[in-house]
Order: sequence, then structure tokens, then C-alpha cells
Amino acid sequence: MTEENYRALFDRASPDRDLVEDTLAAAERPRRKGVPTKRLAAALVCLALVLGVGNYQALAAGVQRIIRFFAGAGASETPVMVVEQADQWTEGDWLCQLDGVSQGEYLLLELYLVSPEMEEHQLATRILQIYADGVPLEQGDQVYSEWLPYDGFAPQGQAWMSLSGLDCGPEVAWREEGYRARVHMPFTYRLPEETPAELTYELLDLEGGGSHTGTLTLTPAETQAAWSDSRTFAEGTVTALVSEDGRQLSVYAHREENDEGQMLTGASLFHHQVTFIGASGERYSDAGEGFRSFTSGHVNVQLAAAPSWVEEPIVAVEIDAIQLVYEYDTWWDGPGGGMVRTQGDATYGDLNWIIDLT
Amino acid sequence: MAEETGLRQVVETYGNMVYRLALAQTHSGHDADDVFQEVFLRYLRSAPDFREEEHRKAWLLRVTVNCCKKFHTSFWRRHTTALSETIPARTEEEGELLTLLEGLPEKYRAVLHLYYYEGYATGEIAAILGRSPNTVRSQLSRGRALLHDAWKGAEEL
Repeated sequence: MTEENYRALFDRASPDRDLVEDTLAAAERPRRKGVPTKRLAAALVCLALVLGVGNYQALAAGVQRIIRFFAGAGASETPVMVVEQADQWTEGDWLCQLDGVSQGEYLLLELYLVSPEMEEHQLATRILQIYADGVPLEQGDQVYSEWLPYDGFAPQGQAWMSLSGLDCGPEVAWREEGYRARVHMPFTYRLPEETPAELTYELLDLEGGGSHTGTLTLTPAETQAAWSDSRTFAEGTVTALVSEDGRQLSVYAHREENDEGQMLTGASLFHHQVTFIGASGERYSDAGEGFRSFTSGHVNVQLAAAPSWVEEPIVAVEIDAIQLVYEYDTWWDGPGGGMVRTQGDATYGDLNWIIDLT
Repeated sequence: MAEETGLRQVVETYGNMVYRLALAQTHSGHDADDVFQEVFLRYLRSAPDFREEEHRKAWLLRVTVNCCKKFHTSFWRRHTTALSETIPARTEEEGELLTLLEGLPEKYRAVLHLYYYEGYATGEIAAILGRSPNTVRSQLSRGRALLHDAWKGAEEL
């Protein structure tokens, strides 16, 4: 038995003549954003089901997208689970934290090493192995939206950064506690079809040797009714969702290819470009304290939050700037040549994008 | 009209190639139909201008694999059908091969197909799929190991 059997098998497979003619006929019809009929029908069934049981207000423009707002996590098209409680431990003076979120079938874990010193050495290198029921999860290349298994060769070392230059996320609280530098390492994994509630991990220290093991519990993020508004840019459409109480904001990129073959894969907020507007007309800038950003090629969940000390109701939210990340195929003309996946970004300012909640 | 004539020529020239790769990747005739249509509609929308015919072929292969992933990641599509439903075996050997192929994880399928059916070298497959040559070599090696019984006669890398 050889590869000739393989060739013989596939030599007998050909598209039906009807399929060829249908494709050519479809190509003749006026162009519109392509959503294959079968997929659109499936999405409509989904929409009906969700409307029936959930009464979600957070429907983006267009019938094929259902984007929900998950309290404390942000907007997502697919179910979100969060690590119930980030695992924290110490290594000498260092504080170590492992936290994460899953979006659909992808899991993004973020490891932080935080030090009270500035740390002279350049890189910290760790390997993180995750197990569900004792079975290791496949680790992915986290850059692009297509799933590519991590090839084991890309460097996993990350540099220490001063906390003084970081003004949002968990770093804000750590800086106030006296820490001065941190390392941030994101890791992406693919979850089994039945999302496990519990994961175990082994973190290998490639510099000092040794390892740390622990357990993480995944819990579904609570879905809340929300306000929504969408904007379309040259790279694609972004939907902003605001929690029912107006105190949390998230943006979500519609993963669709535009006519130029660019696929929008992510949208990022700048926390200092988000303003929560109170009933009195007072404007409150996002303080960074509640800002969460889980972003990779596979997981994009972000959250900006009104300062916790604001007591009056929030009546509007303003987004002044946004960064979009998109992918496209391009030719590499180097030796051998070929198609390569490339990433680009675009930043839009002065948006004056106000979401009225009244 | 010129656009349609051009597309017809491309479909006639590369239709079998696209369909076979889609079938090799998804193992489902229905999914292969959907991918086939999506690939050529994307081709029409993108209207890529290729300097060489080999580039057009590589573009179509790359987009086919991308479309397979896009269709196959939907959870309601994960219930894979048997490849043998679309290509029934004619000999006992083919039946054994189909059984082995049906157990082959998705991540190895396109690499094996491009290598054994389309005749690409691993470096070319890496360029087409946008993966590193090491990853492709590793996937090919692993895929072949999984199909070990079927590939006894295959040449070494």
C-alpha cells in the first residue's frame, strides 16, 4: 500500500458539474458581503434561540452577529469563561500571578512576574503546560487568528518592564503596593470540545530550574443585558457594548473579510480615551483600575470601567480613539517566494463616538 | 463578461485541485462543496493579479485551507462524515487507507495532501500554508507515522 492508493482515491473526487455552474452563477450576481446561505440560516436559528431564552439587547448591526456582554470580562461573540480566582504565589521577593479567560474554544492564560526591584536581567523564560483531566492541551501560536500549533521554537522569553510606564491593568494596583517591574507572558491553548471546569498546570522555570504546579477553575462569565452601537471603518465593523449600569465598556471586532481581503481580528480601547459621562454632565475618564485586556490572535476580550468612586448614574460613554488590528495575505518575494499572513493595525482618533444610554 | 470568462477558466483549471484539497481536509462532500464555492467567490472578490500561474495556484491552495478551517471550527460542523461516503473504496487496500485517513487529525491532512497528491516539497508547503518549514516537516513526519502502515512504501523525507 503506497501513496499511489492515495492518489487513486482522490483522482476520483471531483466537484459536481452543478456545483461548478452554481458557483459561476453566484459570481454573476451583484456582490454583497458574502455570508453563505447555509451559515446565514444557522445564524438565524441561533438568533431566534437566543432571543427566545435570553432577551439580550446586545445585538450588533446585521443579523449574523450576536455579541454579548459578559460582566467583568467584556464583549464576545462566543461564550466566555474566566479563571474564577487568579492563582498567586511568591518566589522570593517576586509575586507571581496566573490568570486567564477562554473565548469559545480558545484559552488565553497570562502569567505575571512582579518584582519590587527593577531587575537587571533582560528576559524571563517559562514554559507553561496545561492539562485537562491529565491530557495536555495543545498550545498555539498566539499571533494570528488562524490556529497554528506552537512550534516550540519561537522564543518564550519576555523582558522585564518598569511599572512606572504602565497605567492600566493589574499593574496599577501592584505599583501602589510598591512593586517596580513586571514580566507579562501570554500563552494560548485550544480547549477540548467539552470545556473543562478545572485545569491543572505546570510552570517550568528555564532560568532557575524548578517548577510550580497548581489548579485553575474556569467559570462561565455572567451575561448581562447591554447597550450596543456599531461603527464601520475601512478595515471592518466594530461593535461597542456597554453594561446595563453603564459602568463597563467593551469593543468587539467583527471577524469578516472586507473587499480588499483584510480581515479585522481585533479592536483595542485606549483607556485614557474612554470617558464615562454622569447624569450631572460630569465627565469621568477611565481610571485604568478596572481596565482588563485579554488579547491575542484567538482571544480578544477587553473591558474599560468607570472609576469605582463615581456614585451618580452613568448616562453616556464616549470613545475617542480605537486601534484596529487586521490580517491579510501578501506575497513574500524572498527566496522561494510565497504567500505569508501579515498583520497590520490602524488607529483612529477624534472619533467623538458617544453611546447614549438614556 | 470578461470577468466571468476569466473565472470560468480558473474554475475549470483549478476546480478539481480545490475540491480535492477541501475534501482531504474536511472529509465531507458537503463541506467540500461549500469550501469550493467560497474559494472561487473570494477569488472573484479579491481579483488578485498574479505574475505567475504558480502564484495563482498557491493562492487558491492557501485560501482553500483557510476556508476549511473557517467552516470546520463551527461546532455544529465538527460532526465529521466519513470520507468513504464521498469516495467509496474499490479495493481492500483503499478501504484500509480510508480507515486510516478517517482517523487522521485535521492538522496533518492538508500537509499530507499537498505533499503526496500535489507533489509540493515541504518548503513550498510551508510557504503556501504560512507555517514554518520545521512545523511542516514535523507535521508531515507525524502524519506519516500515524499512517505508517499505509505509507510503508513512501520515500523518506
